[in-house]
Amino acid sequence: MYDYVKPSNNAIEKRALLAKLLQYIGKTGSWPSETQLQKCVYFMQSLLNVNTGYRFVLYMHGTYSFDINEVLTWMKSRKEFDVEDYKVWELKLRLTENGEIIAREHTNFADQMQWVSSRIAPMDTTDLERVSTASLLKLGAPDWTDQRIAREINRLKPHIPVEVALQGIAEFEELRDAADADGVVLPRVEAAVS
Amino acid sequence: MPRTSQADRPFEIRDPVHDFISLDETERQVIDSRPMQRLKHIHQLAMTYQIYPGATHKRFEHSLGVMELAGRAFDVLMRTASSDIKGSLPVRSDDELRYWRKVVRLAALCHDIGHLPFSHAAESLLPAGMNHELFSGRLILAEELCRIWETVRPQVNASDIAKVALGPREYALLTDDNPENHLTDWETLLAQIISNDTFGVDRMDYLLRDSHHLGVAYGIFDHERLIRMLRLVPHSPGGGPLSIGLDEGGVHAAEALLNARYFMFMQVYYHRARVAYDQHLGAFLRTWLPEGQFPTELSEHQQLTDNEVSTAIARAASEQDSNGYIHANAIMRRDHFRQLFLAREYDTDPKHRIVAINELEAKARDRYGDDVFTVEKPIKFTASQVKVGRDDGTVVMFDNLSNMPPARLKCTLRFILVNPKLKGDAMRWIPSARKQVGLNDSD
Repeated sequence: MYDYVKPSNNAIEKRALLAKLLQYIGKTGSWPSETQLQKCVYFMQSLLNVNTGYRFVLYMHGTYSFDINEVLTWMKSRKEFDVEDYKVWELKLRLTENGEIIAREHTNFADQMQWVSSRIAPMDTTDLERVSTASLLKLGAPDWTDQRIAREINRLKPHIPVEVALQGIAEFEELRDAADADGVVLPRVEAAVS
Repeated sequence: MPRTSQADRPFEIRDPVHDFISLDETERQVIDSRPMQRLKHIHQLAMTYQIYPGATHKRFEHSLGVMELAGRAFDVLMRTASSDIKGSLPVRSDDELRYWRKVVRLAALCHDIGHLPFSHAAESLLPAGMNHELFSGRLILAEELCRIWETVRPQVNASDIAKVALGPREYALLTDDNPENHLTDWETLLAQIISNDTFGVDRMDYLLRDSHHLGVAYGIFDHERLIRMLRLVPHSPGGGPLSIGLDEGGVHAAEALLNARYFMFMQVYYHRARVAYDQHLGAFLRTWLPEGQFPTELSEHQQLTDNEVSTAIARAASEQDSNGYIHANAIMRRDHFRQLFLAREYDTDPKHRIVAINELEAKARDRYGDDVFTVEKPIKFTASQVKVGRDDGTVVMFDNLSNMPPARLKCTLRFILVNPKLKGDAMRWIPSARKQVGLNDSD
């Protein structure tokens, strides 16, 4: 997998990428939660080979980047997004005027952002947990059988039964095939460590 | 009355913050180990004793305190869990609960054993990708402590301790993203007891302990109440993973902790002199360490404490032609760089103000070169991800119940520190420089 460069979490390029992605997702008619945004970045990186520079680990709702959370805190402090509703379980992130300005700094990967906005962002938290966890294990352990991966997912997350985990693996494979068919997968490039 | 054996009787250590800290035989063996004893020679707050003379406490007693609070938090969380939540936990028997309680306490005890001399002040001098947490993980898995884990009955799994001590992010780094080493939801939950960004017991202990030793009141909050109000809550509706939240009765105690953290950062951790000493220490270490970096080999790492660094600083300060003389002398003679400019960058600032501060810093560097430090210290305060369980069974976000001012979400302190020999010139220069970049007197 990649070696990750870790620029400052205040770096414009990191904020711009997230702002641009928020912009794309917002156009679909519904603002995302942090979980949905996180998964969009994850699949852009792991499935579509966009080197975002973020490192993902397995966490409560599947794949998660603590660095994305840091950057989002910076962005919120600069009013680059607002939270839409405090009463729901997870806050929806709505891009502000400041966020629109910073989004202009990012001009790459339009096709990839469009793709994850339409395929990944509409999924709910439960689906995203299942599919991203399946993805992490499929990509990290390509020699494992699907049965073994499903049993491992159930061991890591007992609330996901084996049969549901297998479903997640199948969903991930469908996404992979769809990405190939839609021509949005970039050539894989290993990033240099600074 | 039957006599209890030495092995049955718990040990107790007197502690200024928690009164008594009890430990069992295993914990005592860990405390007697070389990695733990080394923490008696690592200051908790680096060179803060230069400003607050009482800040001489070490990582050792902080580790004991975190262990004590971790055990208490674990007990509260398991005791107050609803039957639904208990049913979803992967622990079924009392033996399993006892095992994981032991793991949590040992992880808390060992969470800082990898710290470098002078704690966080030196962290930037590690090679990219290394940090003290990774050293802690390596030490937990190394031979000396593994001998202890293997002799304990029932045996404790070293990797369980490392996972809970490090959490998912650092453990993934330690194990190079090995797919067999992901943390389960249960292990992630236990790691949160120690290192949760908002209410982890690591934070609780250091705020209280630092406040006590410095003689300030800023870091005090009702930790007993807060721990009693911790609860396991679903992370999302309809089942799924659990996270550590609060009972509604703990909201004010939690607000007090957030306030305590804010005040301690503003008054102590980011005190201008402390910031200056950190810079001098870093600059000295870059001249003293081979290739300007700390060693990553464990045995070499274990040989370095504050004592070795302090001795080197004292020696360099007495030899004018030594490499690190300027910064060693600044430390030994209290001749540290002085604050020339401080800006607090808030979330409500207009963009032009931030640009102006950047320009002022660049001008200062151009004018004074090595005789100036420009330092940014960000402070993050948020509990917006914390869930609160209400009496009616509903779960809401912390921010929905708290009256904390949202403007305190994030603040960055921007320091310009200058060599005291040039302070006169710098003080005459700064007003016109501020005007040139468009900063008011109040900025």
